[in-house]
This record gives sequence, C-alpha cells and structure tokens, in this order.
Amino acid sequence: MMNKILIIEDDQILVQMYETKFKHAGFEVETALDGVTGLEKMRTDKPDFVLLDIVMPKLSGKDLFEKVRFDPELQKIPIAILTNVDNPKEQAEYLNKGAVGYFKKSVLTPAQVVEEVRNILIHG
Amino acid sequence: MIYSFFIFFGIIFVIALVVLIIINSRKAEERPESISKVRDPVKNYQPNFIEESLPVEAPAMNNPRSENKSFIASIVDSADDAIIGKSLDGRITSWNRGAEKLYGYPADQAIGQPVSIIFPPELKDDLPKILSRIKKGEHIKHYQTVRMDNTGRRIAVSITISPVTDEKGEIIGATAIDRDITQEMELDRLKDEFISLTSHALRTPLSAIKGLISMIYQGDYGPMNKNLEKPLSNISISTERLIQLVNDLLNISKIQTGKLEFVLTVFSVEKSISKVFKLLEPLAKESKIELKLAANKLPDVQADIEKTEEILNNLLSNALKFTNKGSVEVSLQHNNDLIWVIVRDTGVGIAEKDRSKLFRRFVQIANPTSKHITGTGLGLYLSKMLAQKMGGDVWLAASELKKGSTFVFSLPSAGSKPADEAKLNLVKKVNNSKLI
Repeated sequence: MMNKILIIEDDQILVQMYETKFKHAGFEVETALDGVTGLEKMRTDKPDFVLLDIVMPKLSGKDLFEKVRFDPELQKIPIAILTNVDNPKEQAEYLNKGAVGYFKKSVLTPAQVVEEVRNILIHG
Repeated sequence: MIYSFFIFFGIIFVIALVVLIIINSRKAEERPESISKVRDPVKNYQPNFIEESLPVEAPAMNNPRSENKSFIASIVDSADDAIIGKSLDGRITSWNRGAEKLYGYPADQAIGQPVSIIFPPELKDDLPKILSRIKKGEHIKHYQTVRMDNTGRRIAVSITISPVTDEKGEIIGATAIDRDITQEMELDRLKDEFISLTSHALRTPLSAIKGLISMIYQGDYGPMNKNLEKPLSNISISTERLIQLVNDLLNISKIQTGKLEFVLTVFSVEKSISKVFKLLEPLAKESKIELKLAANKLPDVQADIEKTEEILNNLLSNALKFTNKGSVEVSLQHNNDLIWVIVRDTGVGIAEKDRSKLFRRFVQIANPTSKHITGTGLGLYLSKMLAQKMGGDVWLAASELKKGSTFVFSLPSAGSKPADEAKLNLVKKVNNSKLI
C-alpha cells in the first residue's frame, strides 16, 4: 500500500521540490502552505506521516505541534520536523515531546529525507 | 536565473553578517571586566574621569581647592549620567541632575532616602551584596542590571560603583554612576533578531539550491546531461561553501554574544572520529589519501558531540585538502585530565611565517600545489574557540614544509577537573545572559 505523506511547509519552491522527490519515491503526497491548512489536512486526509516546518505564517509549526500533541485523533500520526532553525535545545525538546525526527533542510538532500522517512515508517 | 538571484542575495546577506560580526567583536574587545579589586585606594575622592576631561583653560589649574571643588561639582551636575552618592548604610547623600532626569525624583526628595527606592523589588537582594563589596574597598565596573524610576518603570542601566574614603582613608560611602543603556539593549536585541532571521532566510534558498541540484543529478527532472555534470558539481560545491559560511558566521556571532548553546554529554571520542571518517571517505578516496585511526582504549570525554564532530571534520578535511599523497592519521593520547586527538598528515606543511596567522579569522593559507581555495577561512578560528569553551583546545603541534603537519585537539576527560570547570563556565554564561 502506498504511504501518504503530508508536507506542511510555507516555501513554495521547497514544497514542490520535496513533493517531486516523494512522488518519485512512490509516496502519495499532500501539501499545505501554512499551519492552519496543515492542521485541517491532518484531519481530512489522514496522512501516514507528516513533515512539519517550524517558521510558517498563520499557525507556526511549533503551535501546530502543541495542538496535535493533545488531540486524541491526531496524536498518533508520526510527525518529523523539517526546518532550517538550528537550535540543539529546541531539537531535543521536539524529540522528547514525541517528534519522530528533526531534519535540517540545509544538511540533508531530499533523497536523504525520503530515506529517513522510509526508515521510520519501516522500523517505527 | 532564479538561482543567480538567490546566490546574489545570499552574498549580500553574508556580507552584512560579516560586518556585524566584526563590529560585535570590536565591542567585545572593548568590554571591560565587570568587577575588579581596588589596587590603590584613593585618599580623597577624586574620580579619574574628571581629571581626564578637564579642559586646558580650566580655572582649576592654578586655583585654590574650593574653586576646584565647585568646578567639579558643576561637571557632576551637568553630566548626562546619574551620579549618586550613598552612605555605607545605603542612604542617598548626593543626587545630580542626571539622576533627577533618569529616575524622576528631585534631589531634595531623594537625598536622605534609602537608595533601595531605585531598586526593583525583585532585585532588592542586590543592595546588601553591593554594600558589602564597597565596604571591602572593591570597585564594581559596568555592571549591567535594572533599576526603577519614581513611576515604577524599569530601566536597563550600566553601573560603575566606587568607594568613597575620608581623609584618614576610611571608607565612608560610595558613588555610583548609572548610565541608561535602554537603547543599546534594544540595538543588541535587534541585532540578535536580525542574525536569527537572516540565518533562516539564508538557509531556505540555499537548501532549495542544494536539494534541486541533487535531484537534477539523480534524474528527477529527466535524464542527466553529461555536459552539465561539471558545472552542476561546481554549483554544488559553491552552495556547500555558502552553507558552511553561514553556519560559521552564525556560530561565531553566537559565541561572541554568549548565546551558543552547548549540550555537554559523556561519550567516546573514538566513535565520533569513526563517524567523521565515514563522511570524509569519498573525499579521501578521490584524492587517494589513506585515512587511518590508531585506536586505543581511552576514557570518555565530556563535550558537545555535534561541536566535537564539527571540529574533527574541520581538522580532518583540512588535513586531506593539504595532503597530495600519503596519509592522514589520527591517534589518541591521555594526558593528565585531557584526551588528545592527534591529527598527523603527510601534506605540504605550513611555512614558519604562516603559523602565527593560522587561527585568525578569515585567514586562508594558500595551498601551493592546488589551484582550488576552498573553505571559509573561519574553520580553525571557530574550532579553537569551540574547543576552548568545552575546556579543551586546538593547536598546531608540529609542521615541516613538504613533510606534513600535526594538529592536536584536546578535550577534558569525563569527571576531570577541567570538565567540571567547563560545565560551570557554560552554565554561568547562560545565567548571565538571562540576567541581562
């Protein structure tokens, strides 16, 4: 069965880039350009995995993450942070609070992000 | 088109960052020690700055003391800073016009009052500490804290306090010069915000360039054209350099403002070396240099893993870059409380005249046998700074032209005295920046 991934990211170019890579890797891809839409799509599309940017308009990734943590319906969906914020303390905090990954956009190539997501989906 | 646009703006941002870093480091060099012990107790209260700022034609030069005193009083009164005298029990004994302006109380209201009227309730405990230091004859210089005016408004101030003595040399009180630094603090805040925003703004287009090039390579946008391999590979190298430069500059700026966070843990440095070896294997293979690790069982170190790997990566990629044939060998040694990581290469070596410049900012030592100059000129500078913050160091141990160089990177072993000291210093840093 095809895995469905939701990419919540406000930079259009980056969204298109990750969307292309994940589609080529055999994923079904949904995208959202802000946190509010992202939260809606988490409810309606029921993705298997969410890639979440932090700095975003309307609802930041941080706020979305907090909302989802206490939502009985959504808290089961694995979320990995995909960001350019380089802050080790924040990274540790997200991982402690249940994020399944913290990927730095300028460090990993899209192929490496796909690889990481695949590993998490397979091994949990 | 779009890439050149990004790169252009990237470069503009980087230049702005460089200027900021330089300005900041100048400021840091000017910043004096916060507290110093008095060396030569002053017999009569005569602040230095008054003598220094005395105009040449001043009447005080050959006049009786009384006139000198009133001249000094007029300077004190016209100063922009608040100049406040207090007795040893903490009562206000003098209050200049600057103090009236800063704190809102007129002199006749303030004099005789406890000086605690300008202390915010949450900082009331500071007063007895300051008074006990004064009694010991200590000076307190440029202490950054918060005071309160007559309406309860908090004001960020930098305070210099000196003891006042009578004719017999007994300390009878203190004088404080309070400078309003609200504007400086606001500028500092804006600068930090600018740096964190630019870092994010810079990395976003850079990660798009990096990601898209990798995907063109991998055939995500159609079969790869052989003719494009070389230019794409060059764009890729340049992008990595820009990313590294942004990271280095941000780290330096964070270190200077005490905002770089260290996560100290206990780990085996050997594991970190193996990890960095894996990253550098392609580069080593390409240049046919052997990467060797002479392993031996040593105690764990206490450091920040990511920063340790950054330093190792820097030293090892430098060694590879400057070695044309032979090997780069890493060995470990336990010296007192420190673990030494020794990186020995069989490269071009470093000329005597270049050795003193090695650890300076933006200094790149040319590689005589290679046309490429890679790197940012910040690697060794940053590595040394990071290592020192963690209680270790980085230095050049030996070098001979055409024979090779040996660098040493030291880190405190877990539980040792330098490890505890580093922990303490890093914690103190964080608390201080919170206080301000």
